[in-house]
This record gives sequence, structure tokens and C-alpha cells, in this order.
Amino acid sequence: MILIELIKLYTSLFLAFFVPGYFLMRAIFSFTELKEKVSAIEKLVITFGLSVASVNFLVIIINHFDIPITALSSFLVITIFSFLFFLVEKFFEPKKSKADTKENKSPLQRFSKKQIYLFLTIFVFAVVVRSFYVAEGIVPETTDLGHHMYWSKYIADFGELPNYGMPDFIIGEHIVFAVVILISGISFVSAVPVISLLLINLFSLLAIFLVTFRIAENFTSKKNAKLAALFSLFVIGTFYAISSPQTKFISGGVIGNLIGNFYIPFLFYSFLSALKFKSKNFAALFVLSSATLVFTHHLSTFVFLFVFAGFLASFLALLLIFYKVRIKEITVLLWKNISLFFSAKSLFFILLIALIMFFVWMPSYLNPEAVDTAVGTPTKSTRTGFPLGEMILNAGPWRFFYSGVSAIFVAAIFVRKFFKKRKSDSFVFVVSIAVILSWLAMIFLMSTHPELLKIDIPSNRIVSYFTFPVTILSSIATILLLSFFKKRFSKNLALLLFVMVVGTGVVSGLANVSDAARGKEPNRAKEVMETYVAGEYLAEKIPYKDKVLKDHIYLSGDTWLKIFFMQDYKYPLSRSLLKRYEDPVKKRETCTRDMVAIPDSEVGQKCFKETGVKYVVLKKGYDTAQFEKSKNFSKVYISDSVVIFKRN
Amino acid sequence: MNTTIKKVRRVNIIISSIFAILVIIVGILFIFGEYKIETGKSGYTTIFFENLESTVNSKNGNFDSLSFSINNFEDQDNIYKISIFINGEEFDSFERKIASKKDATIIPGVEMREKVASINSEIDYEVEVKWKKNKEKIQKKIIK
Repeated sequence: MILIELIKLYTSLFLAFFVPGYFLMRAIFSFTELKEKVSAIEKLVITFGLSVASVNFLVIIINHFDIPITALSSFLVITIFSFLFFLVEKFFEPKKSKADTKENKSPLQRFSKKQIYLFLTIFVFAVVVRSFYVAEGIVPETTDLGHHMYWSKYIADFGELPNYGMPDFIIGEHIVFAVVILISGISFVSAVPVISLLLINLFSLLAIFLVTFRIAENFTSKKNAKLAALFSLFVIGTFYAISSPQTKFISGGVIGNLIGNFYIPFLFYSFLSALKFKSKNFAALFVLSSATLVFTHHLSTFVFLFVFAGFLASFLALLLIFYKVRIKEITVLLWKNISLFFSAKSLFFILLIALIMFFVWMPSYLNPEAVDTAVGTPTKSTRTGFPLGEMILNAGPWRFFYSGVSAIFVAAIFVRKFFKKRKSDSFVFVVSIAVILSWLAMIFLMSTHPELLKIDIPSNRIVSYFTFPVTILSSIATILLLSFFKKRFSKNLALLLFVMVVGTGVVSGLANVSDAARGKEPNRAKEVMETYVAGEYLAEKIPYKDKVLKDHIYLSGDTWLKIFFMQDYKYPLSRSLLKRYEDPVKKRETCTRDMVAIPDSEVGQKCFKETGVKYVVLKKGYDTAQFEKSKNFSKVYISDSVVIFKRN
Repeated sequence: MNTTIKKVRRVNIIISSIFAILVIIVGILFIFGEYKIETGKSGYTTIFFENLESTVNSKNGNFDSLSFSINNFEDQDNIYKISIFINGEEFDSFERKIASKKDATIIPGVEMREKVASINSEIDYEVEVKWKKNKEKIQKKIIK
């Protein structure tokens, strides 16, 4: 039985994350380009990115035509889409290529045996570290994941996309999960949501690997760039692997951020590849992936837009310096490169996305009110920026230090190249430097001094995006240092210095992993399942719309109760964390707190009457004494850790 | 040229290995998740008091004794039948998985008594826990 379920899971994951993107990739890119410029690892990552994009837009389109979103319709639309692009590739793409030579192969296509072992060892280690942590919380229970899975289940249960009525959720966060669950037929209360998030996270590591290579290859040798890419995989995969935005985001179900953390490096990779190869197809990939990010996560889109704006400004400044203000030469260069993004394919995608956005589905956060709340001078203490010390801790001290070293290296390389004769690839060199420096600088500014950029978003949300530029830069710094040591010192001394650099990283980075492994609750899964069994029981027994109140403070996995009822996003009512009831700016409702804390008081009874709450779900022994003693409540359900009281 | 082809093949080894790693880890996590979910569903006992409450209400509290019994099925380890007896007659029963003898002995316990007392404190009742295994009665406990 479990084997059949496992096969269904593999099939659904394969269909949602690989199949449509693979065929779309083969249709977007020419045969020659795929063979000569895109390595197998790149193809794999592009396939993943395009699959998520395809599944999202396909489901949005079938929903627009009132076709119910079911297992069959999802399966058929993915299959038909893939088959159509298979035909496009088969009949319209010429299959001519030069002979296989070293020169016409992407450097990422060529790995030595040692590099392969290194790549696989790092990847396995990254997977294992994540899996051990994720396995502890494999029974889904976290608050964010519960909220998101309600909407995914809404799609699966009602066969249509939800009208959120709030800007907090974006449709791209839920479609893929709904499709995987629909096709596999497995319950939402399973390991499937966490497994899907783990896959997204692992592909974001590969995206970092690619973008590091693409950046580094423009100002160091191909060999060093490859080593820097491998080292970036090590740094992102194993150092500080548990902290945000890595494994904690997987377990926590921070879906939008995780998808955004894949697309942001992927976008820079496709952008740089478009300019590097003068490829209209990579430019089209950039356009389509940007749109997918817009439909998936507001904060990531916002961060990307700011970073990209910072890139444009710094790039133009560097270009003017590098080309000594030769405006005519610069204009020609700019037009030659910008025109890549206005090819027929790119324009087709732009038109398609515009049509979807204005006539089919507008992301819920794209309205003046929502934008207003994110832009402006921050006033709340949580939005006024992080002090430097916390930034360092958040990025990881080792990564932070070496990204600073790398920034100095990169600046020095820029100055050195400035005094040398310009080559044909100088434009991409300036682009690469501007990308990585502005990526680092903009997120640093957004996190520490949001008032300068008029950003009114919780700073702790933005700071998680700092991980990627510091990873890329610290990896490049390490390899450049190694190269420098090798040139200046004896082989043994160079090796010793390199081990010292990496060793401090290992100590700092892996300490985080071992810290995070402590303090797990061994009975947590059992408690969570008791909550779910209680939820199933209530959902089955009580009449529709009978009001339920549950406790968010002590009850394990309480947010997931809503997916057993599927009555409303805000059903059942919830007694929140106590600090949520204290807001000096805005008056908060307190009934959900008082109904649990003082059920028999005048206030409590008034609240019960006003809200119509009939059932209260609590953790056994936590705030239950007042209900036990009360004549107004009967205990109707009890297990080892969950109690349900009914109002008489 | 041959070296290049060899190196390209090596990259394909990377892709196959990535897929193999993903397949293995997805499988392990899924099976582990299902195991945790299944074991999380059992190993404790759930009592639905509403059965009791409706009975007491329907009889207007007019009964002499209330008892519960827990028996396991002969051929199924850890699956037990929990019965509610009123005036010596079985009123309701349900089946539950119970992980250990310890779990079974604490089932009705004090909370049942409190509940019944809250409905009718005059009722004389008993809670009986029977434990049967291999057709032999191992334990009998009466709380009065």
C-alpha cells in the first residue's frame, strides 16, 4: 500500500516539478544552444524553474475557463502542454550542432573525477543535514504551513482558485502543492508538503551554484569560477544549514520565501547568461521567471525589484567609469544588450503575462493599499532595521567576514581591469560586478537602514535574503585567496592557509547545525497527531458552522485544524499568543483570549454569546481547570493531550 | 575529443546521482512521515464523553450502575474493544488501538467519575477495566 502511494508521489512530483519545464525548455532554447552552452546541471535547474512556472500559469488559465481543478484536469493539462511543446521542438527546432569539442562546451559540462566526487559529496551532505532536521518535524504542524495548506486544500477540495480577500497570500504559493496532492491522491496531513519544500530548497542550492559560476567566470579563470561554484554549494549547503532561510524555512513552511529564494538567484543566472551568450532565449527565460516570481511571492518580488534597481544604478555608474564616459560607445553597447530582452519570444511572454495579469488573475498584493503598507517611512520598532551585530549573526560571522574580503577583491579586480585593454567581454564583466555588489549592498541597506529606501516591512523578513549574496561573495573570496596563496607561497603553506580559512568556516557554520539539533521534543509528533484526530472527530460530529475556539498557545499543530473543517480561513477561532492582544496603535479583539482565560466571568460569557462559540479545544492541563469546574461546560472528548469542552 | 566526451558523461553521472539522491530521500522521508503519522494516531486512548452524556440524559440519570470494560481481540494485538455498560447492559462500544497495558489501565479513570458526578452526583457507579490476553484475564480493577 505504501509502495503504491510512494509511486504516486514520485509521479506527481515528477509531473509538477520536471515534465512541463523540460519540454518548455527544449522549445525555448535551440538544439545547438542546449547542446553547446547549457550544461546538464543548468538544464536540470532550468527544467525545475520552468516547471513551477508552467504549472502555475496552466492552472490559472484552466481556472479562468471554469474547468474544475481536479487530479484528472491537472494531469491532462500538464500532459497536453508537454506534448505540444514536444511537437514544437520536434518539428520547428533545427537539430544541427558542431562536433563535440572542448571549445564549444560549457565549462560546467566538463568536470574532473575529483570535482564530481566533491560535488556529489557536498550535495549528499547538504541533503542529509536537511533531512535529519526535517525528519524531526515530518508530521506537518507549523503555523505558516498550516495557513498555506488551507489554501492549497481549498484548490483541491473546491476545484477552483480561492479569492483570498487579503494581500498576505499569493496564488503561486499554493498551486504547485495542490497539484502534487491532487495527482498523488495523498493527504495534506502527510510528509508531502515538507518534501516538496525540501525539493525547492535543494534546487535553490543548485541555482546558487550556477549563479556563482556565472558571476565568477567573468573576473577569474574558468577553473577558479568552477571551484568557487563548488565552494558556494558547500557554503550554502552545509554552513548555517539549519538557520533561516534554509532548513528552518522548510520545516516552518515559509513557502513564498523558499520559492523566492530559488527564483532570485535563478533570475540573476538567466540574466547574466543572456548577456554572456548574447542569448535571446536566456532573456526569454529571465522574462518568464520574473513573472513567475511576481505570481509567487510579494516580498521576494519586492526585494528583487530593489536589488535590480540598485544594480541598474551601480551598473550605469561603473559602465561610465569603465568606458571613460564615452557615451556613444556605451549607448551602442547598451542597446545591443538590452535588445536581447525584446526578442519575439520575450515579447510573447510579456504579452502573455500581461494578459493573465490584467484579464485572468491579478496577484492579490498588487493594489495601491497593499503597496502603501510596504512603502513609506517605517515607524514600528520591528521595521526600523537591524543593528550590524544582528546582521552578522544572521548572515553567519564567517560568511559575513569573507563576503567583505571578497567585495574588496572584486573592487580591486575592477580597478586592475580598468587600466588594462578592454576586451569583448568587458561589458559582462561590469554587469557581473554590479550584480553581486548591488545584491549585497541593497539587501544590507534594506535590512539596516530601511528608512533610506522608504521600506516599511519587518526587517527580520528582509535580512533572510542577505544569505545568498554573502554566500556567493565569501565563496569567491575563498577561492581567490587560495589562488593568491598558491602563487605567493609554497604549496604546503598555501594549503595550510586555505585550511585555516575554510576551517574557521566549518567551525562557525557547523556549530549552527549542532545547536539546532538540540532541544527537540520527542513526543511532539504524537501530540500533533492527537490534535488532528481531535480535529477530525469534531469536524465529523458537529453541525456545519457550529463555532469552535482552539488554543494557539499550547495546542500542538493547532493551525492545521482549519484544514479538517474547511469552512473558512479564519475558522476555527483562535486564542493567539498573548502579546498579540496588546497593541498600543490599534485596538484588538480580546474575546478569543477571555473565552479561554475566564470562561465563566461576565466578560467570558458575553464573548461566548457574541461569538456563538460552542466548542473549545485545549491542551490537556493547560487552562483547562476553569472548564473542568464550570457548570456551563461539559467535557466531550479527551485524549492524552487534547481536551474538548462543549458549552452547555 | 575523447576526453571531452568522457567529461560530459561524468556530468551526466552527476545528474543521475542527483536524481537518485532525491528519489531515495523523498522515499525515506515519505515512509518515515507515514510511520510517524500512523504511530501518532495510536498509542493513546480517546474517550468520547458525549455518548455517556446523551445516555445519562436519555435515562434522566435513572440508572444504578455504569461500568466500562476493555477487552482485546484474540487475534489482534493492541486493538481493544471499549464497552460502556449501564445497569449491567452494554450500551455502547468502540474499538481503539492501545499501545501498552499501562495505557489501557488508565483509560476511564478519574475523569469519567468526575464527568458522571457532574451529571448526577447521586449515581452509584463503577468503572471496570478488564484486560484479556491469550484468553486469560490478567487484570481487573474496580474504582468505586
